[in-house]
Amino acid sequence: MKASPLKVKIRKVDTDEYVPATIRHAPNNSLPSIQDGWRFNFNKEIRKIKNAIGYTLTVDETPHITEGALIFDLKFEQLAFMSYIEIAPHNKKKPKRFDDVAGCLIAFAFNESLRLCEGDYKALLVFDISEEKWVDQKKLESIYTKNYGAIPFPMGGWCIMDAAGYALRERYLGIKNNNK
Amino acid sequence: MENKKKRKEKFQDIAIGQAEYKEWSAEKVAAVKAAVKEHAAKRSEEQKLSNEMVAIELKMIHYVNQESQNTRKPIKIADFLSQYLSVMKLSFKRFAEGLDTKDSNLKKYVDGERSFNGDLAMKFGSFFHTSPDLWLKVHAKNELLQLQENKKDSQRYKRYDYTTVIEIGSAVEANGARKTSVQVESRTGASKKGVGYAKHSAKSYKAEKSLVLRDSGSKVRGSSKVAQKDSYVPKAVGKKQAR
Repeated sequence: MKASPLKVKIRKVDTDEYVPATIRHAPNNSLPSIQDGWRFNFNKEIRKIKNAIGYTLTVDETPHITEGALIFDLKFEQLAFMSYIEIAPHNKKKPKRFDDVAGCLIAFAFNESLRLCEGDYKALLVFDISEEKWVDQKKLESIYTKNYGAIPFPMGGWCIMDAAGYALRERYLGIKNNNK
Repeated sequence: MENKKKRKEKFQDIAIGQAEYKEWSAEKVAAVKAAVKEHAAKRSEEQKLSNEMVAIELKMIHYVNQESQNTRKPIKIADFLSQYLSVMKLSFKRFAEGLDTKDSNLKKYVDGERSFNGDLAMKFGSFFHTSPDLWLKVHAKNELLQLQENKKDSQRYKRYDYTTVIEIGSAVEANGARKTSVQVESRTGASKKGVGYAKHSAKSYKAEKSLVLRDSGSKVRGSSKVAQKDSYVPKAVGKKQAR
């Protein structure tokens, strides 16, 4: 099920140039954790999720530094789901090193929905937004709506589908849809 | 005030996840399934077809990028073609007509009776809106898998090694500058002799390997030995004998 490595480009903030990077499968124990300064324990949470696969985004020049991480799985073996996604602490606050990391990972997850899912579930990526504070919840919903074209789904879920997903593919993965 | 707000939004964390992972309830699963069905029903036929075709292309890319040892079973061009024709609800005959060719003729290429070629790759690529080299890569991968599967064949290829053919050496000129030369020798003799020759050449290559690697001017191992070596004398090049 796991995807082969995907070459992408992310923006280096200080020089404003695009550098080559790769999204690839990461073994569980190499995923980031709270101890590394991340918000989530990717290496522990992934073990609780059936058939989940961890992916990391690294710059080709510095493959040992994780710029972003993603846990992807298929809910009820049909629905593409982003269980966890986060960008590295050094990409969150000023001065951040790289931009477009999140976009690349989300576009990658959408791409997987095309490859792995069948029928109605193709071109459909779902995730949950559940923040403790209402203010944070609303901010995150706004980011995903404005930046990634997400729409609300039942019971706290959100979805990126069809045109919005293809737009992410084109923008972040450089893949045009030749079958419009 | 507005600039401060914008700056804050720019650096907002996009992190998604639960502090402690919990499975969805049955109620949520049912609600999401219903929502998926509702949204899918709004898709145009063109959109549905586009999704299916992109999916097949991604499967082809994934197949080609997989390392050979991780490829359990070869997926032939015919298999991918069949998937495309199925989603398009297109018969093989109609597809062949679309490529200005007879279906009986095309079948030979698709089934592997004749070798898939660049011209067909261009046609397939254009027809299915994929890159033409994707089809050639699938063909090449399957060809290699077939050869590797046959152990006798794969053993046969191991005897082909450049170290059995060329001898790399170096000589020291009068002013102390290092000169490298590469001599190509043709292999003489039958296969048994060829094996013996390969061993000899591999040894001499290994002994002089450090010289080639260090030719940029850094310290050379065994430099005294190098200084004593003669200039390169071309060896007699023999004709290849018929096996």
